[in-house]
Parts: sequence; structure tokens; C-alpha cells
Amino acid sequence: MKPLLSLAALLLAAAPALAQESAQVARGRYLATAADCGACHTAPGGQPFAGGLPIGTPLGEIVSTNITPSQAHGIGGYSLEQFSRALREGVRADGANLYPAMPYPSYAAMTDEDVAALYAYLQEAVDPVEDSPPPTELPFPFSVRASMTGWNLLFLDDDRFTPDPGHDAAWNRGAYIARALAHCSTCHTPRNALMAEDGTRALAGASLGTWYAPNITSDPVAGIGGWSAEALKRYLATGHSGEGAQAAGPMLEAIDKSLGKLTPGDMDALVTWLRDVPPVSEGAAPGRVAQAAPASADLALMAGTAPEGAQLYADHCATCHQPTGAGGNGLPPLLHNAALLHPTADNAAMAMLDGVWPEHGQSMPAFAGVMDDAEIATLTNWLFAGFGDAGVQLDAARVAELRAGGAPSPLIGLARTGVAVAGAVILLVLLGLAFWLLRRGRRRA
Amino acid sequence: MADTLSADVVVVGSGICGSLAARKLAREGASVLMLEAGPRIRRDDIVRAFRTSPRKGDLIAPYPYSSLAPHPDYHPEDNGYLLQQGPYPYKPEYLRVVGGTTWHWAAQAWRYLPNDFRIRSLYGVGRDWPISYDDLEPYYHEAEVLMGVSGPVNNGSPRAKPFPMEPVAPSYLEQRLMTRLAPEFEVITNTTARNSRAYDGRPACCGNNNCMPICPIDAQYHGGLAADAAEAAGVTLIPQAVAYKLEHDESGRITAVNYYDWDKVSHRVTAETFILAANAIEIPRLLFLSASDRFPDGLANSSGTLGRNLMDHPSSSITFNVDEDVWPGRGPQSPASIQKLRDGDFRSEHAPFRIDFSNSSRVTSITEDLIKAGYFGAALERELRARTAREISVKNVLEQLPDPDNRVMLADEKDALGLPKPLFSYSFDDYVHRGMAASRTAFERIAELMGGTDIRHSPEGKYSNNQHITGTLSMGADPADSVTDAVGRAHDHENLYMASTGVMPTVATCNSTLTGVALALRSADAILGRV
Amino acid sequence: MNDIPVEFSPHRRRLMQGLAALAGSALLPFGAFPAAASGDTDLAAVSRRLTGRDDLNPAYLAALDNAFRGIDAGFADRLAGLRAVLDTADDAALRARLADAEDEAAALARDILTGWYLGVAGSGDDAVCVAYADALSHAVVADVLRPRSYAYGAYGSWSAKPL
Repeated sequence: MKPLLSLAALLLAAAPALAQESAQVARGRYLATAADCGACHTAPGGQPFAGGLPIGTPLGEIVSTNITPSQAHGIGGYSLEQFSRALREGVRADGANLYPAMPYPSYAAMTDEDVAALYAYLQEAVDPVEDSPPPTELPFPFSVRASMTGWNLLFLDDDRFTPDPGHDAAWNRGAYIARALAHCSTCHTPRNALMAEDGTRALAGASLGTWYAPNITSDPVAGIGGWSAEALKRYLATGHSGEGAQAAGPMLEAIDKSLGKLTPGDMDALVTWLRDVPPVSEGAAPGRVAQAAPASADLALMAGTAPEGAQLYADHCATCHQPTGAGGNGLPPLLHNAALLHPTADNAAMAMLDGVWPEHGQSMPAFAGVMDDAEIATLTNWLFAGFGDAGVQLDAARVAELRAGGAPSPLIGLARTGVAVAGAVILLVLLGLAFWLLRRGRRRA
Repeated sequence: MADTLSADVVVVGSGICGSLAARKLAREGASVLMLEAGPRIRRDDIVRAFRTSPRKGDLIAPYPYSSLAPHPDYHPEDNGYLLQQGPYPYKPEYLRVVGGTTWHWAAQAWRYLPNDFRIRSLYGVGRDWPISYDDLEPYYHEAEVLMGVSGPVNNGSPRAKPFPMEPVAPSYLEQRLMTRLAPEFEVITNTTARNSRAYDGRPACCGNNNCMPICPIDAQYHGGLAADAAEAAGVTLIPQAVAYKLEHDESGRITAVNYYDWDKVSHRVTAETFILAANAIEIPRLLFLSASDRFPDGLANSSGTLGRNLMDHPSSSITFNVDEDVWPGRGPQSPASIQKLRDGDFRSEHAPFRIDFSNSSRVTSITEDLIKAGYFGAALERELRARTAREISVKNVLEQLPDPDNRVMLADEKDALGLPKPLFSYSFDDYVHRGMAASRTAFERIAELMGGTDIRHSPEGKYSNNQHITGTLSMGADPADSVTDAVGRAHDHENLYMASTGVMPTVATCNSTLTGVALALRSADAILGRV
Repeated sequence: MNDIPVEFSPHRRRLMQGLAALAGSALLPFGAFPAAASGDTDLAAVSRRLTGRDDLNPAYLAALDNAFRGIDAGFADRLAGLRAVLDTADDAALRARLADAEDEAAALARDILTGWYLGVAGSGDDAVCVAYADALSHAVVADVLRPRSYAYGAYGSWSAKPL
């Protein structure tokens, strides 16, 4: 009886702890997933929410911070108000600005109730980690965090989400998820010269430097207007639309860590809203779409007379996608594959360089160590010409850029030389604030 | 001498055992130089060579061959590298390339059974190992994590820590075997270094059914990856470097190894510690070639057992048509086994064996058979489809006992570099033949349970081997009857280690690679002063 | 092979076809040379009969023809002889003859079948791989199996019942 008794005692002791997770904390846990906090605030193999993930931005690497309830290293000392300000206005408890790699312009739309739930979850249900990741070190002037005050003045819209009475509850729920939580626009909306989202072209597609976040407006050609609701749901839940599109790169990560874990109701709502996003026609590929897959090159391959693209395809792609490109039994077919119909070949080349590594399901290996830039360019162009849009091509120099993590932002040069008016405005704001901060700091000391 | 290189440790051979031992030592700060007789190869080149090869069934055909570092090749004809003295020919296949022979294997990565280490004590046959299963258990796990091994927990080999991943999903054929052979035979998924999920930057298996001769996506671990890992850890790899002579000082310590590059220019490498990691044929060959006045019978051979006690796994097989469509060829080539005849009191009477089911596509061999039988046109296609759906093959992996008369020696005939070729004396004893008879009984029962028709046994008394070359460098407690000690160090040379399946004193009933790697990792620990 | 003429004129070939047509479909269920076109080659005709397919890929046919000629200078003559054999043999007789290991015409027929079904022309050191994925043996089971080295499908897809 003794082991049984102790087991019972253990269960009794554990029961209150389990029951303690209030509805509010549970809601916060779900919101943290939906808002994908962990994606950035957890390093690979690191403790949950302890930060340390370097996030490549056109301005340089931004290192995510510890948001566990550690007093010394995390947000343990934050009041709800301070947390709310950081989350929705991009201002830390100590008054310093966050960089908008933290999608506070999106989280600004979050309701007070959801902010409180998220706060409760992070404070009560997350284990504190007593360690700080290395600090972010951006080039000047972005190294001065106060530079972001000017940016916020110009670009931060901190209105809370308000339902649109012209639409039903599902549409409005979808809008809220997309805007306040999933922050779709962070990647999919083009940015202006100062890296702010361009609201007039919402979700019309943008390059992240390497991966390209395509147009997801309801435009039938440039966007996803041609997708069925079911395909969209499958895509957002699993990474595979079942109709020729599969997620890779940061989108796959968003699906694995966040979107794939939405409740069916929230997924329905998100898709309802997404399919109603006003169409923007920019970002369409030229439209020189292949009508049929290339003829079998088998005989030429055996004779050693196949063109280089076909030979590279045979050596590296045909093994899984099949000699005809037909894929099958769960492996993606290539004819009219979404990755080969984008207006840029970046994603196809990135998938080859980095591979595609979903948390569950079949991965595609990386070929960065197997093919050089010229080979990847040749193969990518052969794939677009044979299976996708022949009007889209890239060269070895672009592959080299992608391999290196993308071209650096022109913004850096712009701000440094101060030739652009906007850059000058930022610099002025920044210098004033820096002076003010410096005086404040001295007074404290 | 500008031509003399130096390192803390020199490893001769870049196969899976040598590379993973080299990697481990380099990660602990040792300067390690690794010599490989063969060339570097790339996976995609081998895949291309396989697809364009007119001999798809020849595991060796897609790999580059050089007479400067020859390997045996039997197709279309025996290339005469391995010479035979009889009475039975020993014709193993192996590769001399960076990464070694595990470029092609079925990735079966079994541990021995605990009893395999003491068959002399338990069953009065063979010999006991100088170490126990428990001594090797942590190194088995170390090897399994490096190689990405998975398998069922009930595979007869107890484990302290879980496999790094789940067993590979069973094919439809495997499921039917499991269902129909139970309860008389328990069929279990094989223990393999094959990815059931993305692991270590390599994808999960896609069922390319080409584990041999080449996995086209690196879903299974192989020595090429081990060599890459060694280089990433700081090991200096010199390919096309054919070691031909070790030097020693008056105390018997090894002082240098000499090698020919492929221009037949000789080079010399000195080191504190030497690890021989060519295979269980090429290592004895090198030690014989290094004979000196002090060691006239070859280095590491004061016992006279160097090159003796050669073992492999002789196999017989049965082929038949199942009474339902099972379609071999979907998924990996070697998916499942029957365990129950691997161990038991019968081992005092006859050889134990594992029964291994093949899931290799049979399209090519059946097509050949049908064309030979005169089929053509629609009848050919109809019959091809019907047989491909139903024909399966089952083989055994059977334990051969150590026998000093089974041995590798030097031949008089020389290779292109002027180095004597290996020469074999080999035969099977009644222990093997009795095991084969027991196996035939089990095969027939399996065929019966599967509704088998058109039953074909492999020819009686003619066994294929499995390239699990073992025993020629046997480890043992007694320097009088073994080549190496319990950590794989030569009894005769204090700084000479063997990282090879050759040190295994018995061959048991499972593929030798995982045990060879575990022993090599343990030898590395011994060099680091940890054993 | 003494009974097979070295020369095999187009005129004679047409005559043979006429005879075959007269022989009727009961005797030659596949028709000896269906879809015979002008400019038809011996290899095309022989290949159609041996595979029972009249949709053979002309590029594959040309590659095989090239490979066989490269291996064997007497290929054309032996092929013409084989064509004559096929002309006169019904399926049952042909099946029996093709199983004869010693028969030279049968050996050539088996080589041609190997060329179409396994993509390999010739044997031993002379063997040439003309096709792999496109070899007909793979087409026969394409709904269930892939040519080896090509993926069956995503991980675990092989667990399902094949058909």
C-alpha cells in the first residue's frame, strides 16, 4: 500500500498546481502561441522565452530578449502597465525603445483583456531563466535606441482593435488574429524607405532580404484569390495547401510554432478575413507559365548529353520530385508549384540553399554545401522555365547574396550620409533625444 | 626531411570506425591526421553513376576504382584483387574511398546480445570476449547518437538510454509478415541508422529503396558523413594515400607510417599514437607488409594469430511467391527481422542466426528471369506485374565460429603499387552447416505461413557472405592467442590501436558496424586515458 | 545462322508483311508488324512485336539502335534474321524459341527485350545503359513502385496498402 499512498499523495499535491492555471493564464498561453512570442524569444535548443535568438534584419542582427519572469534578466519586475507599454508601444520599463523587429506596431491592436491574459501567463506559468542573452549591437545611428522614438512618432498607430460593424463576428475575429496576433503584415506588407509598413499596399508582398513573403491579398493573379478556403486552411494548419503550395523558411516556422496551433474556429475566422483582404495587383509574376512539364531527359542523361539544368535537376531534385517533376505520395509536384510562380526566384533558391525543415513531416535537404552559386542559379532558372514562370530568373550574384543572408539595407547608408530628408529627420530627433538621455543619465549618477 | 609529416595521432583509413575515432580525439584537442588509400567521392556523383550503370545489381559498380588502391570487384568478372587458396572462396566486397564501405549498406545497426560476448562460457563454443556487454553499453549509445540509430526496444539488447528516434515506419510487406507469422515468429522492425525524422541536418527516409548501393538523400548514416564530421572537428584528411609500412623503434613502439600517393611518391608520417582503421583485411595486410628483423612474422603478430580467425556471416536464402500482393520495393531495403534464433541453448549444437526479410524492389531481377524464360510482349508485362507484387526473399545472418585456419595472408602476386595482394584460406565447419539446416526448416515454415508457392532455396552448401569481415585482429586477454587487448591496442606495440571490426573475437548474428564503431569510440577513450 | 540471309531487301520485307497479313490474326494475335509505316526499321518492327506495344518512344528506339550497332558490327544483319524469325512464329512458338539459351536469334531477341525493359544494351564489359527511369519494366508497375533511387514518397507513405 505504501507506494500507492505516496502516489496518491503526489497526485493530491500536484492537483492544486494543475488547477491553479486559471482560465486567464490558459488564454494567455494560447495567445502567446497565436502571437508566436516563443518563435523569436527562444533560441534554438534554449529555454522557452529566455531570448537569445539573433534575428537578421536589413539593419543588422537584433537579439531577442529574455521575457521570462526573472527579476534581473526578464520581465519579472514589470507591472501590467509596463508590460502593456512594451507590448503595444515598444517602450521598455526603463523607458528605452524596442526595435520594431518586435512587432509592437501589430500588437498595438491587442485588447486590454488579451494583454492582461498574456501578462498573467508569462508571469505565472513560465519558468524564470536567470540569464541574459548578448545585447543587440546595430550600426550607428540605429545603435541609439532613442532613434526609434522618432520612428514611432512617424509610423506607430497605437489604436486598439475595434470591430467593423459592417462584417460578422468571424470576419472581425479573423481581422483581430491577423492584425493583433499573427502579425501577417510584419512580413507580407511592403515597407517604405524607413522600414515602416506601407498601409496603402497592405499584404501585397515583400522581400525579407532573403525569403520573399508573397502577396496574400485576394487578387486572383498576384495574390491568393484563386485559392479555395480549404486549401488556405490546410496550408496554414500544415504548411501544405494540397494544391501546389508548401511553406518554407519563416512562414513554415510561423505555421509550425503558431498558426498550426490555432483552434479550428480561429482558423476559420482567419481564413474568412484573409480571403476578403482588398486585392492589390502588384507582385504578379510575368505570366509566361509553362503549359506542361519538360519531356523526360532520361535518354540524354544516360548518354551524358543532357543540358546542365536537366543534369542538375536529375542529380539533386529528381530523386524526390521524380524525373517528371510529378512528386507524389506526399512529395510536392513541381509543375505550377507556387514557389515557381512567385515574381521572384528567391524562395526557390532559398529552399535549395537552406532546405525545408518542418517540425513534423517530410523535410527537404539543404544543398548549400553541394551546389555552388552558378549551379543553383542554373537549376533555379531551369525549374522556372520548365515548371513555373519562365519570365522569372535569377543570376549567380543573387544566389551569392541569398547565401550571405541577403543584401544589406540601403537604409544604413541613407541614414549615415544624411542625404535623405527622412534620414535627416531621424538623425535630428535622435540627437536631441540622445542629449536629453545623456543629461538624465548624468543626473542619476 | 620535407616529406615527413607529424601529428599526435595518425589514423590509417577513413571509414566509419576510423573517422568517428578521429573525430572524438580531435574534439579533445589532439592533432589528428587521417590517411585514406582511396579518393574523395560525392554522393550525387555516385547516384548518377548508379543510374547510368548497366549493372544496377552490382553494389560496387557506381564507385570509382583505381588499380593504385584496388578493391575487390566481381562483375562482370572477378578482377583478381583477392586471391583464393580454398577450399572455399572468400569473396567479400569493400570500398577504398573516403568514408569506406558503409557508403553502401542497409544501415543495420544492431547491438550484440549480452550472451554473444561469452559463448565459450555459456555454450562451450567459440571464444569469450575480454569485455562484457555492460562495458560496451555506453559506447553503443554514443555510436547510436552519432549515427542516428532507431529500432524497437525489444530487440534483445538492453539499453540505459532511449534511441535518438522512433523506429522507421513499417512497409505494407513488413506489416503483413508481422501479422501472418505471429505468434510462431515475432517479426520486429530492424535496428537501423536510418532517419525516421529529420536528424542532424539530414532528412527522413523517402523510401528510395536504394540503401545499397547508395542512399541518394543521406537519410541513412554512412562513413562519408563520419569523415566529414572528422574534418569538421579539425582532423586533417589526406586521400589517395596508400599506407604500406609501419616503422618501430627498439622497444617496439610504432614511430612512423609510410604511404604512397597516387603518383607513387613515398611519404612518411610520425606520431605519438597510431590507429589502424582500414578494414579487417587491409589492416593485417599492412601489418604483414611491415615485417622487420625484430618482428619477422609481421607486426602485432607475436601470437601468430594475425589474419587468422577470419569470420563473416554466411547466408542462405529462400525465395517464394506470397499468396497475396505485398509489393516489395516500397520503403527501405532491409526492414525487419526474426530474433528468436539468435540465442539459446542450441548454440552449443548449431550456429544461431537472425532471419532477415528483404524489401528490395524485385523488378529488375524478375524482368531478367522472365526474359530468360522466353516471355515477351503482353505476357511478359502481365507476369512481371504479378510476380513483382508477390515474390519475396528471406535470408539468414548466421554466426560462423572463429577458426584459425580461416585466414588472410599475403599472396606472391602484387598490385599496381607493387604491394602483395591479400590471399585467403577459408572454409565452413559443421556448426555452420547444421545452423543452415535449422535455418532451412525455419524458412520452409515461414513460406508455409505466407502461403508460399514456387519455393526456391539458395543452392545447398553455397553461401553468400555479408561483408561483415571480423576476427583477424581479435581482442583477447591473453597475448598468446590474440592480436589486440581489451581496448583494441596491439599486445606487441604500446602505441598501436585498431579501430576495426577485425578486433571482434566473434561475429554473432548481427551486422558488425555498430559494434565496430562502439569499440572504436572506446579505443579513443583508452587513448584519452579514460578506460 | 546459316539459314538467315545476310541481305534482306525492303522488297522482300514488304512481301513478308503481306504474307503475315494473310496469315490472319488467329495465328498472330498481336499482328506481326502492326502500324508498319514507310521508313519503318527492322528494330522498330521487331521491338513492336517483342514488347506488344505500338507506342514505343522513337528516341529510345534510336538510342537502342545506336547502342546495338556500336557493340556489334553484325547487328543489322542479325536483326534482319530475327525479323524473319518473328514473321513466321506465332506467340506460342516464339515463347518456346525465346527460352532456348542456345538459339542465336532468340539471344538477340532477349537482348532487345533487355534493352526495352531494363534499358541496357549488350552484356559484360560491352554493356551500355541507354535508359533507366524510362525503361519499360518500370512503366509496368509505375502505379505502385518507383525505379530504385527515386523516392517512393514522403516518410512513412510506404506503410499504406499499395492498391
